[in-house]
Amino acid sequence: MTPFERLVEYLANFSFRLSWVLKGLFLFGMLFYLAFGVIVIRQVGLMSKTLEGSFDLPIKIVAWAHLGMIIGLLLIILLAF
Amino acid sequence: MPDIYVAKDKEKKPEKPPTKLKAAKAETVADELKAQRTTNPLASLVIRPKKITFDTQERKEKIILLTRRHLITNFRWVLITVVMILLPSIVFRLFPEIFSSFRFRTLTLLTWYLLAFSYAFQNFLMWFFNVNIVTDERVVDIDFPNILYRDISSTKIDMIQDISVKMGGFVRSLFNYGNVHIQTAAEQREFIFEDIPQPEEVIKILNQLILEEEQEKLEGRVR
Repeated sequence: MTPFERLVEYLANFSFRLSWVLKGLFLFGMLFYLAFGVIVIRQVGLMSKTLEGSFDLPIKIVAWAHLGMIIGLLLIILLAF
Repeated sequence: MPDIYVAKDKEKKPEKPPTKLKAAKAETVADELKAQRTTNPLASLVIRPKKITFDTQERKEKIILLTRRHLITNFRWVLITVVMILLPSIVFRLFPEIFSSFRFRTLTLLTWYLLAFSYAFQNFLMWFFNVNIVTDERVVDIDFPNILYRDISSTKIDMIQDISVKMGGFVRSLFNYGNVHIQTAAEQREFIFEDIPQPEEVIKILNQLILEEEQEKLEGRVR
């Protein structure tokens, strides 16, 4: 079977699944969300550089945990769905 | 000829040691407020903070006052966050068949709760880092209007021309917070400390600092 025939067969047997669309949408949204998480890290860095205080470390930890949760969710979508 | 009356020599009174009155008068506003020092890092009105410094602070400059919006101004986003947290359980109770697939249901829930967390964290950051600082030399306004943008403006205490407070409405009167408007002779004509607690106290401290600055000028102790 030639590659072209295989493609034709695949297209003929192709069945549309809503879950794929949803997964694609989730992934697309998560990429933006990941960028947002990185920006939050930079934002916290800039803010705590501008105003240094005793509460900087907990805020930085929360910001990194936030990014970690976003990456975790992205992995869940990629692997489990 | 014998003396009829001889006046007794008056006993010399010992000289009093110099009083410390003058030294006490020289105490600065910064020293006076040390007794009222605030230690809570999440307070809205921080007097003489110990472990806080800011980007453009000079070496000998002391922070007298740090203000941020009153805690009650966070009520709106805290309420929205609570609603966001409770919403899924209400929706799933009302419409149990909305997500037939367990996987998508879990995924949607995780995403939703993470969004709620991001929303709350972002609002907290905006509240915590948008501050007004009064030092013994300047008034500094630090603003982060949006992500990755900062606006720092300052004016010298001796450039202040007029200070006024604007308070109105039920909630502001109840929780004693309002706006302090500072008119200056500098490039930036007005500084506004928005929704700060105890605005009268802030004005009192600012007036003390203005007087101190004038005194320093008269004595030629200007930095």
